[in-house]
Amino acid sequence: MEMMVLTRMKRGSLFDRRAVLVGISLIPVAALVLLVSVVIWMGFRQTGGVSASYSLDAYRQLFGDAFTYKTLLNTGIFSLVTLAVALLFGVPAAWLVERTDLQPKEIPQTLMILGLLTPSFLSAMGWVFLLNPRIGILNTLITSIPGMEWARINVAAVPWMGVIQGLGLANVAFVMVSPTFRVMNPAFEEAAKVHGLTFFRILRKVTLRLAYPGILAAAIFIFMSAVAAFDIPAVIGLSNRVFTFSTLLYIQVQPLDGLPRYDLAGASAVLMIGISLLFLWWYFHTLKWGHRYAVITGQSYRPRQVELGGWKVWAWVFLGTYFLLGQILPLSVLVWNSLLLYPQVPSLSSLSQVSLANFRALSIPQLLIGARNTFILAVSVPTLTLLFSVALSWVVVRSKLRGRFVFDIFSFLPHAVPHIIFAISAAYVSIFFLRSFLPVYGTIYILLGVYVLVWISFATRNLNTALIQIHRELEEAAAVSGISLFRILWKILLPLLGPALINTWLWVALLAYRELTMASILATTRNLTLPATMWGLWLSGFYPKAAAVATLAVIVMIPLVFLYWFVGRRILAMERIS
Amino acid sequence: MRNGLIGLCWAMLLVAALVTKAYAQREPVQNPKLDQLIAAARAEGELDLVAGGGTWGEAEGVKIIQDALNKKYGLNIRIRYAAGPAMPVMTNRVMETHKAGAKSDTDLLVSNARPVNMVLGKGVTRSFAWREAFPYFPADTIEFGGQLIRFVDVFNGITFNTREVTGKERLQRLDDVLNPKWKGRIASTPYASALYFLASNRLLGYEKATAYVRALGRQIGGLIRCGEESRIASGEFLMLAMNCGNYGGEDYARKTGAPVGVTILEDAAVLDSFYFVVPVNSAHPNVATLLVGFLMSKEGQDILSRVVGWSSASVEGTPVNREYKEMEKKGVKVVRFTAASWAGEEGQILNRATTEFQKILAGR
Repeated sequence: MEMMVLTRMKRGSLFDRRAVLVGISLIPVAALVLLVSVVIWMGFRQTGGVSASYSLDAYRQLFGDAFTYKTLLNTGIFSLVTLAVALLFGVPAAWLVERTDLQPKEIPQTLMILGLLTPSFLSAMGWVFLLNPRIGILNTLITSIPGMEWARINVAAVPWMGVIQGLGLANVAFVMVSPTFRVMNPAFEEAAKVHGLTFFRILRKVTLRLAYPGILAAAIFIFMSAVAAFDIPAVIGLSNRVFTFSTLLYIQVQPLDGLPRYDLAGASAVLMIGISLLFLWWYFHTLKWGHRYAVITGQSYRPRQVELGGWKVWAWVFLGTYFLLGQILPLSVLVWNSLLLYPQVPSLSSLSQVSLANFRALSIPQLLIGARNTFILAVSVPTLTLLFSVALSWVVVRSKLRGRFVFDIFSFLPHAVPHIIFAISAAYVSIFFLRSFLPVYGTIYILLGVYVLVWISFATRNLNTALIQIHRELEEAAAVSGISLFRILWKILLPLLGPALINTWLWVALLAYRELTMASILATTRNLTLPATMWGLWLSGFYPKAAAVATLAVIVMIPLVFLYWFVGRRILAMERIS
Repeated sequence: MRNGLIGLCWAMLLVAALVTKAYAQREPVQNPKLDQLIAAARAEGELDLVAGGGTWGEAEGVKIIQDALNKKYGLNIRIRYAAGPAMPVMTNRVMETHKAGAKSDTDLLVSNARPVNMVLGKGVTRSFAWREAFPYFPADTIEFGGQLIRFVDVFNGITFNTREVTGKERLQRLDDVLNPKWKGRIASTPYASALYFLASNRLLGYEKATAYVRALGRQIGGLIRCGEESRIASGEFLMLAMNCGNYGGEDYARKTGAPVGVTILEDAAVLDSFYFVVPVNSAHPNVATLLVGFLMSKEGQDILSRVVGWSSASVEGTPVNREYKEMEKKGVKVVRFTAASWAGEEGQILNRATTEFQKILAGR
């Protein structure tokens, strides 16, 4: 009898604490419901200044135009190539760093995010200088070899745009898949080895299959990122009249003449939400069998690393090729152009014009204001995102709450809605609904709120995957021993989630640091960020000055990122020992 | 006698000096409207400007304008600036904040002629007796009863790479752009900048303009934004047909030394306009009004011209004013488009042409 009462009491307290986690999850979900509803509402609203009417015109116009389908085809090819290239480089790189004895790991981890330190519109310009059919440095080098004219790369062809975007998103695959490999129990692989399976067969049949939820989550995220990608399609595609969905949308939302067509943008966003729901269905189907991928159990958890031996050289060659193509080359072009008054292809005559004039001409007070706001966002956004995401992922993966899939749908949807639309939706909500009791419009808090909501999709993908890999028996054992839910979270789950948390925090911090689209829509004089300053310089025609700001930011950020990885890995190692 | 004359001259000089001094001292008394505005602006103390990147010449440009305004009126105003969305989006934002009863993000809206129509007659604009405070205001720059101030005029034309497009290949007429030599090597804008003006009955008319844009659509290699002069300078594209105003290329070449030039076509000499609007929901309307007044003076126009390359054709002695006169002297017909051009029958043609030409250029 006493035991029954005790169990009930424990259940009761567990229930209360679950309610707290559900409550925390409900905050972002409610905000997302509101923002997504506004996006859908925008699709029906025809504006004529102050007056508005409602109709299906935007949908008719969107789906009645053959160009929409041509653009969708371009977007599909672009996104698939992007996905293939990103996984081709990102997944093996994650495996090499996390599952092998390759040392030092901080170098590839730091180099992987190098490209993230510069806004992508600047990197896109770098690719124009590298691969433009007329002036591209690489094309000039290739075609200078007799008989190699055929090898000239047309960077504006949709597949080539996908390759470039894929190189840029390979680090997303790396960051999303790394935690999966890091916590993987090698017992399965060892068992396969004992049974005589070859290395590649083990990789295919065991390692990759166990990492499947992580790779799938990364693949869906990358595919949707490619669908919504703006900078490469805008800078490279548009300049050759190759439209993707995002560039078509951008012209509707940010016209230089005429009124912005938010109705068309809303209708387009609904289409993208539809596509993402299809992917989510697939993802949920995988989650349903989540227990099959649980590799961290209470019985044994001893991550061990594969010894590469003589393959180390080839591993570095592979990583080096990626770093050179995906990170160092575009960054080098950026640095080169920061030293010139106007962009030029490297030559002896342009070399004579190299100077620090762009750096000297920068408005330091303006940069400091932007840097301060960006720093605040880069620290607070990932912290809040992780707080909400841990609660959301626990509700989705661990709780038995009815309708928990709704939480996951809404936590993923922001990724399907182009950020520019989300920012417009946030502006509407803050101006019309929140103004009287939560006057966040025009402040840094609106950026904080929107950034957190948008990147919950990324964080929950990472944490869902990591949680799937941790067997329930650990929590069940702790619960039976009378340990409270929060203590289970603190003492068991969070340490095991450590690699995922550390990766996700850094990644979201970097996304917040470089975010531009939403910042430009919600920009006021009180929430100016560093990327918005670069954007302003670029729009003014001063690409080299914008490149100078980006170069300064890279110089400041690289040591910080290296330090982060260095400290992060040591904290994890200490936790494992303890 | 001689001493008497010298004495008389000295007396006259003294009287003249006293009169001048008295006049100078009386100037503020003669313009109480301006004095009142200056006092109100002093009380507000600051100004927020949010506009599409490049509009104000970025932080450096804003600092120059701020210092000049303060010096002119003996103030200590602080101007804060942020690069925001494009002009139509900002115009829409001002409307939305007004509708919601909120303060506008920007104290002074800069908008181009087409979207600025949206604010007319909606109670969004702050009315002001401009010429009472600033008698030098050219009358024609005050439009729609003072709701709009047409502060800048821009000639639309061709921006080109001066190394690749040399003297003998001078671009003078619309057809010069269609020279097969340039095929695939020139760019236009995704928004068909200035090409829609060709559809006006004052220029080619809708049918001929459509035929021209179709030919141009076959000629271009791609689409770039106005403000991407760097892509002309680098040789990625040899020219941009047509630009959003000659100021862009001129300003870029002046500030960077890049091989970029601009030209106005003799058969399409189009003069487009940009506007100032002080929104009623501006947080600092008096500073905004004072800034408008200052920037409409010759001194203000010179500063605008220096920081962004902008000036008004209606203010004597400005670069665009001189260009305008030169065109007239050469017998070139300059066709001016203002906010009013986007309303009425001509507005319908221009709106239709904008939609259609954007499709053609996009290859739709």
